[in-house]
Amino acid sequence: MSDTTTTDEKLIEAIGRGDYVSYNKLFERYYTRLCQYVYSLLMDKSDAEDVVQELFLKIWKNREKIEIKENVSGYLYRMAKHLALNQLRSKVYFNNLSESKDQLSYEENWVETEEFRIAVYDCIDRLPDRSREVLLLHRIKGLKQKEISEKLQISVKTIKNQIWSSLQKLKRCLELKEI
Amino acid sequence: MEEQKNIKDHIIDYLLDDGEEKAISPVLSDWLAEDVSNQKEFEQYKKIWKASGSYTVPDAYDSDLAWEKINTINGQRINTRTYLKNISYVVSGVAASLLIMFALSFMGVFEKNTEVLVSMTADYGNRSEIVLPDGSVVKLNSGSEITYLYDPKEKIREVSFQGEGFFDVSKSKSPFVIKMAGGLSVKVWGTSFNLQAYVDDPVIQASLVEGCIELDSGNDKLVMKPGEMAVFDKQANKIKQVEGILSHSYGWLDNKLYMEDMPLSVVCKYLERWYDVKIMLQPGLGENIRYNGVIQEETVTDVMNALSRLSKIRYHVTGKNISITSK
Repeated sequence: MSDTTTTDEKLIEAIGRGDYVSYNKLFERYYTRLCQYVYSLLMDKSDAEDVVQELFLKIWKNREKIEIKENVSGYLYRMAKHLALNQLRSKVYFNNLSESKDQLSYEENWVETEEFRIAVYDCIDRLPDRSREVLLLHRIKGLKQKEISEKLQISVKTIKNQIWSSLQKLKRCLELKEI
Repeated sequence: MEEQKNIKDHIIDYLLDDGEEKAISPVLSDWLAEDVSNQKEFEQYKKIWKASGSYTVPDAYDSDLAWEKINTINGQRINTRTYLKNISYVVSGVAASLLIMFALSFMGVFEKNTEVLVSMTADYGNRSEIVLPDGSVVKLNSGSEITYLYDPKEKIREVSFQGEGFFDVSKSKSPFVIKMAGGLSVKVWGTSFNLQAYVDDPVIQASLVEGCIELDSGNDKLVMKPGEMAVFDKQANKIKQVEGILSHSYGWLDNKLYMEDMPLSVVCKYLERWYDVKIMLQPGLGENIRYNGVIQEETVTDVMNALSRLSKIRYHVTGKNISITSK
């Protein structure tokens, strides 16, 4: 991952000089990830996309003034959180922000659980499609084991085995990230 | 080793337990008490499990559409040489005409005030959404296409449309015009409405949720008010208001198909579009069997199951082909 970090910084530098192509590269690299993160704060997909789009627009608008003193990824996630909180003030959500409602400024400390969550999403992205599907059918769609079994035509035992193997993969992936 | 095998099952059962208070089985409890490292491992699984609850798949987000919006707002141009080098990631997943528009914008063609024809298509089996330059949003159902002339100097307020779409048109003093095959055009002023105008259907149907729209076939005109539904008969070239339940006409946004005395043949036409399948009906069956109710299913097999429970039909699926016979 250290290669990417260096290139991220180079992109920011180039963006500061008005390089739109680098801006597009940064967008392609971070848009979806940031959406997944903001979704976990606001629990609404289209609001998440609005916030991340706002973030990128602000970056371009203020490109000459941006100074990033730490890693680019951390900066972007913090900015996303800040903008998400702004969004929150204008609506009422069922959300995961209750533990960090006080942290309104994006200069504040990063919340450890958020870093963990972001890492988990990246690891789930990397799971084989089938394993991820089984996990998500239960976790996200709320299907019971029997329903998943009927839908995918596999036994409940297989489902349990799949979920276990996914857990092992996720655990390993997180260990590699040192989270 | 027996213990080890059991532990995995106990942990999984714990995590899969949907109850408010998850139950720790005696076996699990003993295992946790054995060693601190077991407790740590268990905590890690619980953390991972919790975090996975707010995961969304990357496909849930349309980065191409987002880039379109951002690009438009930034109003940026890049010179030709840089564009050619970076075409690979700009292009992925974007329809050909949108690509052309992009390319032309990057090459500074817009500075020369050229108009570009842009179109967005949702194929059979797909649905998509487009944000027009004036901010209007159109949700496209399967088998639909919207085309317009993009002029950067003037806000476009005219599109050609076929298929089915739900329109959310921005308010403006000048009307927004939608032209369809069959000779009907719709003028709207800041509205939301559903339009069903498939080229292979004998009629065009419009349902107005809010705002104001005017249907015009050249011969005939009708101004609609919110809550009203109207049908344009292409053959008779006549527009008339009809009674119905408004929300049923845009049930497709929620993947719902409302059937009011709907013949099987018509249901099949919807299924062919929504799921990109070809259906062979036993002759006569299509008109004789009618449905009342609503189906909302994820896959076409789920739909066929539902239909075969509601009526005496039997179906057989081979790849993208479905044949339906009577039971």
